[in-house]
Amino acid sequence: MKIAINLLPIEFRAQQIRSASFYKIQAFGVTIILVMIFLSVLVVALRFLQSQNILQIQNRVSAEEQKISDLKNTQGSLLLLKNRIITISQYLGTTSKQAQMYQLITTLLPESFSVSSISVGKDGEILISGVVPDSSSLDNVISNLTSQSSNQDKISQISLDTISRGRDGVYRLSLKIKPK
Amino acid sequence: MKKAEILKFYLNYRLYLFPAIVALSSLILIILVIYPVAVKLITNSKVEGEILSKSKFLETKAQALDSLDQVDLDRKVNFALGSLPTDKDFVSAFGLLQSLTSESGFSTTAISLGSDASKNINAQSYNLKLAIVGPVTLLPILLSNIENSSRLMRVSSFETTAGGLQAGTISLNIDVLYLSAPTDFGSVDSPLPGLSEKDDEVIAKLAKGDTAASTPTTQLGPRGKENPFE
Repeated sequence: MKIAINLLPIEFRAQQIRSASFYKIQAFGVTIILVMIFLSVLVVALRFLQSQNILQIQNRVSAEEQKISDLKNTQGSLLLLKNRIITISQYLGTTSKQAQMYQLITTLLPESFSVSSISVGKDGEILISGVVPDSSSLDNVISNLTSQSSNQDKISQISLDTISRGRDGVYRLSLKIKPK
Repeated sequence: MKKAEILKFYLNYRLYLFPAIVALSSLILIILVIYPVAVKLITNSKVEGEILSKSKFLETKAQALDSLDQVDLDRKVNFALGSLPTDKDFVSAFGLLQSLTSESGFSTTAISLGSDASKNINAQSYNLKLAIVGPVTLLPILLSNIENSSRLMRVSSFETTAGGLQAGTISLNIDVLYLSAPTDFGSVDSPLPGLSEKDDEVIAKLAKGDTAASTPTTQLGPRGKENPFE
């Protein structure tokens, strides 16, 4: 069994305890300073590397921009082509309302209806004037034009503008047909 | 003497002085170095990301432009400009209408420039008045030929009058379409428009001159009569 007896005076003992505490604080402080210096160096180094990286990317961007500038004509042609195609595709292969209405009406008119004139307006409105030999033919014309199954539901309104019966018994009429 | 006094002062109060010096030094390092550099690092990382994405975009764009065949592109542009020119180009429109009229079996009696054109949303247009004589039965063919011609034209209005058993006089108002060239041909970093399959189909149609109606026209049975004027 070992017995340790400190024979130093109380002042020295207190001094020793203070010194031991200081060394601990000193070690801790030095560590803190070192950590701070390490962090400082680390962020500065990262910043430097980042600047280098940004510079490299900027150089690459400049090179690509130059390459695109050299291909300016190709880009212009492509934009012009796309600009044309957008409009062309909206019209290409489509039939105007006016032509569609004319085709529809000519197929709906019966054999007995003798057309004098057909006028198709900008909005597809059709004015037809003609002659039918008798009242049954007149009925046939009207029923053909007004029947939804035969007019494919493309006609919204039919108005009989004028109708007259001649001495010869034929009916002269003019019709106004409005598309849907 | 003074140095000894300072040393003595330090030795007496080092337990407080040392941590204070450490704290102060750390604070100075944080305020003057770590914080500003770290903030700049974060800000620049955003900038770096933006430049990087721009670089990738430009790289892709340059590759896409490089892969395009300029000769083929010019050929396609010529087809498109033939169909929808940048100016009115009256002469070609007159010539085309005359040839379409005669091909459809009509004789042109007059062609004149109309006053007003229908308003088209996506293109500019001017009006041509066409007076023709011919069999009215062929009018649908003429209308189809005009609207599916190599140049974009729309029939605005027309009037037919029976002039005989087969021949009638027809007056047509035709809107001839054109579209001014775009003023902006794109900057270096503007996105590049791609050509879709549909666009290629349109170009192919223009190239073939085959602009047959893709939308179904009125398909009716054998009702009615072939020539409404008979």
